[in-house]
Amino acid sequence: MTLMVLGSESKGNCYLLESDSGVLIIEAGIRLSEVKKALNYDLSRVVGCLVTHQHGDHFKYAGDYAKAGINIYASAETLAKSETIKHRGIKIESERPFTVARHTVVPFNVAHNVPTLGFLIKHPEMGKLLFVTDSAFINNKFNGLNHVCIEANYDDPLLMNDRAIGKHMSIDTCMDFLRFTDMSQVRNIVLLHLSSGNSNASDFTSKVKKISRFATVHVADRGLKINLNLNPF
Amino acid sequence: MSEEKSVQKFQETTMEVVLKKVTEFRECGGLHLPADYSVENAMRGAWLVLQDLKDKSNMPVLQTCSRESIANALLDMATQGLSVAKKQGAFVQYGNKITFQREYFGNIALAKRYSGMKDVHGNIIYKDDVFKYGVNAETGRKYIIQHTQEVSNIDFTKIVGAYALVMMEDGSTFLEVMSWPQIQQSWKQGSTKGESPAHKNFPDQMAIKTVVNRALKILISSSNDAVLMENIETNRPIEAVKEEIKQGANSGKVIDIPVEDEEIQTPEVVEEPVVESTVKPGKGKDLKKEEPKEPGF
Repeated sequence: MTLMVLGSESKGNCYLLESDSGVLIIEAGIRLSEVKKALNYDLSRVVGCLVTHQHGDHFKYAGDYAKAGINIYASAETLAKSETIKHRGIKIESERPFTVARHTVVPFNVAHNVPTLGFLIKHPEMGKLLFVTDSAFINNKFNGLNHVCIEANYDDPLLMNDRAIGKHMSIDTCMDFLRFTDMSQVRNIVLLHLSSGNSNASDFTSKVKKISRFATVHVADRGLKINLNLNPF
Repeated sequence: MSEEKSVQKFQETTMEVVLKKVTEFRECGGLHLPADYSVENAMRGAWLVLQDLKDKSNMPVLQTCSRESIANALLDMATQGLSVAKKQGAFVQYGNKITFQREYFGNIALAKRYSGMKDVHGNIIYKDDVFKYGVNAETGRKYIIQHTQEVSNIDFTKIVGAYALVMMEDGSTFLEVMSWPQIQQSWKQGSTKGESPAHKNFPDQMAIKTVVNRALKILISSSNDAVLMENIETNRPIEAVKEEIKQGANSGKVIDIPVEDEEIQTPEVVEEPVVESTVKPGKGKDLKKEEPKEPGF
């Protein structure tokens, strides 16, 4: 299982989880042509696309993906914002597990200014992956995570008055979550949505590294590709 | 040919410099642009206009005007969130300097974007019209009592005035009235002194522009930048937000994968229900015991 980052910023978000059972796309904020390029122009392996919420940088191209035959898994509120997804839209609800190919996905509500979901995804190859972006904080708790993709958007003292507060996660809130969560089995931490203007990527990375000594900390730069296999060899 | 090439090269470098500057400003938080404004498109559009712009001696302004002034004019346009290609403003040459001047459509765009204006309408008052307006004694705002006009009244030589009625999003209105001498006086401020073909052939249209511009001037200049801050709904005190994060974070129920997921082999999930879910003891105590609902269409 590999995770590939096609975009992780307010201009557009898109992540690919690629394994033997196909490619699961998370977020539809990057043009379909870019996705095709990343997949060597073979969309047949795509098993679906999970979308967290309706904002353009996560949802803008969902209609195009749907037209290409990709099922879009999103909340009813999110799907209602698009007229082009039509029958490819699959409504999901917080805390109602479902499967996409061999991925078991549990969506849960997070705190943004529009209805937004986070995802707990399990696949035999990679174990449990937590995916949370565009959320001021995480209310739920999780056990036995193997990979954590989490937003670290801004540094508190840097911008007290910014619009990010209440909608995005500060590095402090992010670290509180990691401290609170059982990190013993976490191999990878991927910091999402590190907006270059708001935050200091290397500073954040070193902060997070201090908390989780056994995990590798990555910044979700465009083009980042990491191995999520439970057995790395 | 070489001249053309040098203009071309000049364009590319200046363009890059300005776009880079804008990006830099945005990244360090020094510049907020409206969310619905594509600065790249506006810049390219502006370049198309600038390329064709010639000065009085028929020389391209890209050659005769200083590069700094061109960059500043472009930056001025971008910070206001306007587009020359949409005729929201124009590049005007003073000596070897180019400046950006906001125009009629730019005023309307800004008033709509920043001041909560819904719409603005301008009308001409002709000599034989019945036009009465009053002033609200409490607010000092002018309002129209009556305006009736016959088509036969329309005569460019008999314009007595013009008015602009601004409708705000909150339902309130704002009226600006100008008499014909006032309008002509304001035209004298312009470079053509009201003698341009447009003023002579279409005085009604130009008069409407004049009165609309005057009505919008106060709206635009007194507006704030709340729109750029984009946080209308999160305008809560930071302390309240922090408290909410403190209360909400890591306090909810445990979310976990249903135990049987290992056995689930569903290559095509859409139609098939997931194997009945139960929950690991001691975890996810609140997860619904019922069958996980297969996402519906």
